[in-house]
Amino acid sequence: MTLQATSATGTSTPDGIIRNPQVDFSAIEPGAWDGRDLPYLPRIDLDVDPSLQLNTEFDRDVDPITYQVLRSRFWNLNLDHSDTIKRVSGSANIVYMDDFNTSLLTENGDTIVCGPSVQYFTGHGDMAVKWTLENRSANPGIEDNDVFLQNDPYIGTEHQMDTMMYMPVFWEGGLFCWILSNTHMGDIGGTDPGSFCIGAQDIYSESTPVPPIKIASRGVLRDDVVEMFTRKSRMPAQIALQIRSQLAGLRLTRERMHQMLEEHGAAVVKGAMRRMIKDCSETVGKRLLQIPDGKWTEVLYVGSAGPDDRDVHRLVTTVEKRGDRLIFDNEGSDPQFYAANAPFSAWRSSLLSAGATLFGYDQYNCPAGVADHMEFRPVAGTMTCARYPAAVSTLTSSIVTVYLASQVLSKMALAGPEHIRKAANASGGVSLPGWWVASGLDRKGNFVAELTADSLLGSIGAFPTRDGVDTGGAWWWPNSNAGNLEEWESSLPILYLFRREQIDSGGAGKWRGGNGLELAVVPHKTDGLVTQIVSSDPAINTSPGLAGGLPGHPGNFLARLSTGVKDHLSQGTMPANRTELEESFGSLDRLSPKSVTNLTPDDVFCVEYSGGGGFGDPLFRDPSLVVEDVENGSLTVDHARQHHGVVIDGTELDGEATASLRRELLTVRLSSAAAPRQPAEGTVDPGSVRLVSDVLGIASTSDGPSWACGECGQRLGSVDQNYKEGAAVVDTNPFEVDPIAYPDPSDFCDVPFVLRQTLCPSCGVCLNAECCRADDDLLHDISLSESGLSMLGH
Amino acid sequence: MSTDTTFAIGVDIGGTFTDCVLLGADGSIVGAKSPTTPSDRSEGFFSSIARAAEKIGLDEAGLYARTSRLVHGTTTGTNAIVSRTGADVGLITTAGHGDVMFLMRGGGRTAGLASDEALHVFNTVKPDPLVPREMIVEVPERIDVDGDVIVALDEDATRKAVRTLLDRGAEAIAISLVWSFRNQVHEHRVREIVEEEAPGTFITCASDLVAQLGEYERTTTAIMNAYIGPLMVDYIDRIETGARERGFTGRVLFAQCAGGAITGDEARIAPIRTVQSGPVAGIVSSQLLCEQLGYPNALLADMGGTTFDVSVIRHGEPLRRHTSVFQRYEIALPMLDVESVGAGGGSLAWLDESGRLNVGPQSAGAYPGPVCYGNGNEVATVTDADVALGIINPDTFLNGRMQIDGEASKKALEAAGTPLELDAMEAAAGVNRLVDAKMADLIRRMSVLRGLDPRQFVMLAFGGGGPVHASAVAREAGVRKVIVPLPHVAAMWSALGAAVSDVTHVYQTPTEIRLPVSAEQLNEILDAQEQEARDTLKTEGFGDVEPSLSRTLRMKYAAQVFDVDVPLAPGRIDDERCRSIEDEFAKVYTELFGAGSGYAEAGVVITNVTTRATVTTPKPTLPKVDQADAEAGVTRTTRPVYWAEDGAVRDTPVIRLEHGVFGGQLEGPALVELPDTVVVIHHGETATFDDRGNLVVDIPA
Repeated sequence: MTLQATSATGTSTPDGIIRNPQVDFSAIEPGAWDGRDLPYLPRIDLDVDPSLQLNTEFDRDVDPITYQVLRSRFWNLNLDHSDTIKRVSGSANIVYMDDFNTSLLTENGDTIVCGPSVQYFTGHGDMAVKWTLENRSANPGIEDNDVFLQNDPYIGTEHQMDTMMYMPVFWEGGLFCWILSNTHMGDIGGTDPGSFCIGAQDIYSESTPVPPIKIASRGVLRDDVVEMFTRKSRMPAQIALQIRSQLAGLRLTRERMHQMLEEHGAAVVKGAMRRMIKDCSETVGKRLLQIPDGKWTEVLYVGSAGPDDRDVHRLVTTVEKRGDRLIFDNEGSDPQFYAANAPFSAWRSSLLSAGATLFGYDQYNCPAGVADHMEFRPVAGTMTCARYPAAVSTLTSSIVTVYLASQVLSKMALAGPEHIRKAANASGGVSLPGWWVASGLDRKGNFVAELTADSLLGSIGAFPTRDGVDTGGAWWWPNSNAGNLEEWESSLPILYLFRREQIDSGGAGKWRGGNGLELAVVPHKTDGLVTQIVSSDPAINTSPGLAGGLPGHPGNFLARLSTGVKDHLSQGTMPANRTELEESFGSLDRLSPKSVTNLTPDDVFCVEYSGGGGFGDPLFRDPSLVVEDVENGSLTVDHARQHHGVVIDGTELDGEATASLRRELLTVRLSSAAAPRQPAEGTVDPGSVRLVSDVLGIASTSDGPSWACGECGQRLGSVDQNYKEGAAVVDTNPFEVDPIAYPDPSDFCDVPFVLRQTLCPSCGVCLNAECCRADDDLLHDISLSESGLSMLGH
Repeated sequence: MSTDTTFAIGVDIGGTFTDCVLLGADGSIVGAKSPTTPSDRSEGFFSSIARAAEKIGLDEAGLYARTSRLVHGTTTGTNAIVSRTGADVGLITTAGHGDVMFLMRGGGRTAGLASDEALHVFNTVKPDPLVPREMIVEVPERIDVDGDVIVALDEDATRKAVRTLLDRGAEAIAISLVWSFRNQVHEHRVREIVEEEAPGTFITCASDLVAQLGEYERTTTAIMNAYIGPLMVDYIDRIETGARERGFTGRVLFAQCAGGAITGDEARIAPIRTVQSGPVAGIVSSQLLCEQLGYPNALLADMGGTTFDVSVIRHGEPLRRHTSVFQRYEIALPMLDVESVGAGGGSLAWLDESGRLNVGPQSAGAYPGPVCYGNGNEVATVTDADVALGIINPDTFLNGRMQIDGEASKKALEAAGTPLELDAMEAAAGVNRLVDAKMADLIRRMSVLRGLDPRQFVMLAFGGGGPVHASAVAREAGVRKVIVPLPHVAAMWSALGAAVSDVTHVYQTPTEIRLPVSAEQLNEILDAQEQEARDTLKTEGFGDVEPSLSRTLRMKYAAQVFDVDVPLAPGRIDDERCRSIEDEFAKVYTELFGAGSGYAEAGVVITNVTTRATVTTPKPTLPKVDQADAEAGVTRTTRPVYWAEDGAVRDTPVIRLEHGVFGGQLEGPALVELPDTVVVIHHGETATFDDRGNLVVDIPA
């Protein structure tokens, strides 16, 4: 049987039946796209075996109160599902780091609710369920009280460690809905403990992915399947417990769902589910319609993507907006490489979660309603859409896709009205997909190894009307927790010298990004400690700002060997931050993002984590806010001067000196920039410029609509061309701009890499700041289509 | 009440009223109220006692002369933290770790928010710091995981730090050093230096307050303690002096957040222990009631103006937690476990951008309050829904103390319903259903993580809205019995709880003992705790009383994060007992987290040994209600009430109780009007008074 969307009782759109195919197969590479060679892309009409009865009936007219009661029940039921997994697993990964998610899906695999834990999981569940319906409904069949397990990234998950368990809920003989969880598992095999297999050239060197398999059959957990799965792990008992916890979550949720069905009837419950999709879709659609049509592109780069890699890899996401429709492609992304790749499902899931955060934040996290507006045009074989058998375990590009998604959609949102653009958010958080694993003998002689969680102390980037959040974590990981240092010193043979907010590490801007974290540890009560870094190069993998805001400090891994630190400590000296550390022991050396270091108790290991990107030109930040930042210890006086042009005398703002320094800095900036390639003549009234970014906008001129600077009114050329053609452009080595905030690209990379600022050629305000390969052409990142221009009155 | 009995006095200060309860040695209970006096709450405190004295025909001096203990549940500390009106605190901490409070372990952006609020990234910010960075000074020193001194304390730097903080205006000093709970030597030396440099300044050492792992929670707790320290010392002085001046020679005690009471001297050192003590004292009353009624398991549901708060009594004991989010900061204090959701009488009914009707969490609060208060709010609230439906009678609202406009409520509901094509009654019933569902959702959620089955619990309903909504919430959550406790005392529940609170000291020793444990190891810790308890009680003047000692081990599976309290039976530990500890732990763990949830392979660890030493005061036995009194204060009428079950207005029996009880069984649908609230009895439910004077609503399965 074909599951016809139109076969349900609803006939008009939108009624909560997704009719948006999400993929136009004629627009992408021909092929099976079934998750075997090319990744799985579900078709709108699923090919489900006729033996499987689907319970599709739904009430299109659920009363508004019952609907709200059920909507809240779904949300809470799903939280109960999460709580049960926490409760049974008791794992730090799950309970503290929140590295999992639970969701509830309709019978045909549309996700109606996702929990508030890791958000980049939100777009995998529907892929897995739809694949299962298409590929498992005939053989081995999908029956009441079955549970499936899968962790195949080519079907739908981030990497193999993120393992999904899900079960169909049957009612009155038909499959009514699905409940699903996805949890990060500590070790499921592969060449490296923890299963991040840095050196893997293909998936055969990683943990073998498991396509959907029945792990419980009609209520009975299958020991053979559990053992097949746990046998791969270095910690089989822990994996078995995590499986039990997911099973417990599913069983409780199934029971609760049955209670709801008993109480309200299937048609009403499904009616509420469909209505949630409809509401979310309508609300997201309404918001999208207020943004002018156009095309936005974001490019981010990855260095040290594999062992001994000294190249720079380009990752691209473009969104074309037409009305309430968003069409995404990843064209221009570099070919897949080692284990640094993102599966298609990760790229899509990133876009879904960024879309939900920006446009569906009040919809109880209903990805199906967001997906209703999206179309995906993946180019396979790239780092943003891997083709089998590429390796994917390190998550490097998968996490970059999260920021590609939030950056490109934020850029788009900036063209919208105030209530929409305020949610735009520069990068930050875990912008650097960087972790480190510490291992060694603890003070009792036991071998210990742990993935540390300090990266969760990164920060939130700036917004168009407010600063980011210092050490605020990642936007897509709302309830994560990095733990107390006393917990880490209990479990690992380390002593933290310091663990603190890193001053000046947030990207400068009209609104600044949040400051990130700096820490230093020494091996403690052990003869040695092995640190394995699982990261890409922060000099290349930046934490970009928006609308001319500077990137935040993306983080860094550093060390100083043979310091004599133990003697220093015993003599009562205590370096309390990076500056003091370097004063005591000399400057720190950067460690390769893929290095393994054997530390002796005399060595110091230092890690820094993502500051957030800034928003808007830092020279236009309200000086009193800069003074406040300095007072609060968030910025140094030097940083205030260099990046914000703010002169502070003692603790007071020197207004006159500030004004004059700012003028001077703008002049210097302009004088060092290359002149516009296609200078545009003339000015407009700055007040007439309809802004589509921070100060960049569009104005009417006698030659038709023109790009213009909203600060001074300078014209920047016809809207048919890239505004950067009419702008002054300055490329600098970011390391020379700020050697701490922007590590030297040439350390681990042979490709010249620059910070490129696009300036108004007249007043010098920064319209855009991005990092790129020095030989990259000007990125055409914003263009408005004809319909977009007409929305703006042109 | 006989005037020759002796009394315990409990006083609880609320936002509007200060409640006083006199508890006679004969079990009699008398309550009195007096307006709260925000500028100096001690005035209202003593007036409430004077009023109570009046009620039993004694003069103030006469009452004090017959009173043995005076226990106070105070919100003064809580208020200062909530309104950010405490002292300027200086924090002295370990070099390299001055940002602990700012980092909030990384999770601070969403701490204390409702689960769905975390999705609104652009609305998430960290709370304002309790101490600005310039008031935090780091001093060179370091202690490690074993309590070994790795870097000696730099005393000169410490001295300088103190002077810096004083120069910057510090009015109180908090000292919180890394690993201080494993070795207090540095924190105590810093304290000495502060005392030398700034005699008389209020000082808090984190490890004196919290003996558990977690520098973040210790630091925030120490800061909050110092923050309210000076004003609490002053307040406690006023209470103690005032009582003495009035001729009181007994004990003045303060209710604490872990349940029980502490002396003024202890409250001066650890005023943070008094936060939330009001609601917690209410739980103490409930515990006593449940014990006497024979309900070991109860959900305590309190619906006020803004929130619905639920706490739990299981196996006769209130559930406690070791850390709680307070004002969005996590603090580590043994507190009773209370969960809240934004659902109260003042919760606003509003349409979201998708046109859906929502109730709360925004609230009109007490002011401007519901539309019917006529203070300018025009958006319908839950109370307005109750008024529109006929559940609340405008003429008798709050016993006639307040005039409300029922028509205004109806109009507001009509406005709320129009976009959804609902009439005023349907909209009002809808608002009620939504708020009831929200409360039931909270109870279901609480039961999952705590391993509870609501069907085995009774629900005690409190607050202005509790009895109105309790049976609907209970039914939805699977609870079969609702009790409105002693309606004429319930309004003073916290004051009663204060009056019956026992002096309690909690001694905690953090450990890292991996099983198997030896009897010698445990006895050494337990003996030291017992000795400390006896010494303290002796200095407090309880030397002649045999304290009741209850001991627990906090234990966890080494590879898992949840720790649980495993009670130790009284008596000396021998090796045989030690051998059974792992099984006892496994039993508790299984009860809370489910069968098969323990990961035993990595071993079991004892993380904390706790002794609670209690000086037990005799508890009143709730007197039986004299059935002869039944029907004395009862008025039986009917009035039109809209019932969602009928989808229509139906003339409904209403029993109005000025005092006393009604006899027999009342079948729903019906209302029981009490002076401060209304008990709603739905279709199929029955209400009766038990022999102690509690109104019991039975809900059919």
